[in-house]
Amino acid sequence: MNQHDMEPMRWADGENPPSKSEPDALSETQQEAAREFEALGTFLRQHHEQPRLPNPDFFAHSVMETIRREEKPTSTAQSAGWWSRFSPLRMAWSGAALIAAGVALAFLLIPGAETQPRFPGPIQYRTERLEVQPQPFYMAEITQFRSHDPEVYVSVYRSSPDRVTVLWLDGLAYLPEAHVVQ
Amino acid sequence: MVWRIYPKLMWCNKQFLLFVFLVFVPMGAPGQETADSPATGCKAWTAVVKAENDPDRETCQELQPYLSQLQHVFGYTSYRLLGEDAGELSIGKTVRLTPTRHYQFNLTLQSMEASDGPYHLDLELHKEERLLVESEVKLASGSPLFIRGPQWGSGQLIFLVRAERKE
Repeated sequence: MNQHDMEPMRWADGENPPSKSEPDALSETQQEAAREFEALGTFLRQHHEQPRLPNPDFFAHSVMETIRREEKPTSTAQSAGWWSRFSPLRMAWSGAALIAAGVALAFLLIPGAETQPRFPGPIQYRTERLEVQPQPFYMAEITQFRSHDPEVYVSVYRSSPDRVTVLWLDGLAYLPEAHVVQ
Repeated sequence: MVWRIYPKLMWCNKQFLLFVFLVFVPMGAPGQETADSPATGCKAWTAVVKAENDPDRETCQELQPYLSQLQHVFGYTSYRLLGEDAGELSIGKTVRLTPTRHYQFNLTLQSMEASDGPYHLDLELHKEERLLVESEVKLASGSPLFIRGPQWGSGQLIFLVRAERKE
């Protein structure tokens, strides 16, 4: 019920009588109706007694309790709306789903994450070509060498074409043919 | 109040444990050891070889992979394996290998970059109790170190040191 609809009722109750400073603005019929309404309002106020509530405080308390009870679930639901989305069960399933999605993406996007090639044909061919490529050969390196024997001279010989690294010892005593090394 | 919320707490704990199990257990599950996983040791093989020019003597099977290299560097035609010894090396641990009764190797694995090497070794070659040479070398699978030893009659004594991946 809007303000416009409330006006006649207030007018009928005598709270907001029509302005008498503008009688010319109303027609004769309206003025007559206004006088009848005013007379009716006066009559009702004088002769119609409003029923008295036996326990007005209890009635007001009950009404307020009812209002609170009806408003409480709504406000609780509104305040707990976000937190209810992060229940442990949902978080568990969300975590599991994210892990599964991560594993699936890793297999899809990272080359070599899958043990078998997904596409037969050129990709498989290229994989085989890479596998038969020889690995780079590592030659032995000598970073330090020394001999505590003053008669022994140590040097290093490296031959890249032969892929050989030799620690060359000179000055060792000659072993006769009859010498047994076993 | 406690007995009223206790079932809810238990329910929450079960869901929480399920969440922890699903998320963290796969992360901490021990995976299979791959080729890139850090290894802590290698195998070492040492040998004493006599090189000579004897057309009647054939090079033994163990030295066949190195025959062309030996012939190119030392120039002898045949190579005879006099003795060999092998062992497993661990980082920081010294292992004594005795390919023959007179010659011994003390090998210490200092570090390794991968399971296939290179292996950073401290090497000592002893003749009986006499230290002939000590050296720091980096070896890898398939790249042995040759040590030219003393002259022996009409031939030459050669030592081989090889490091390779531990199975």
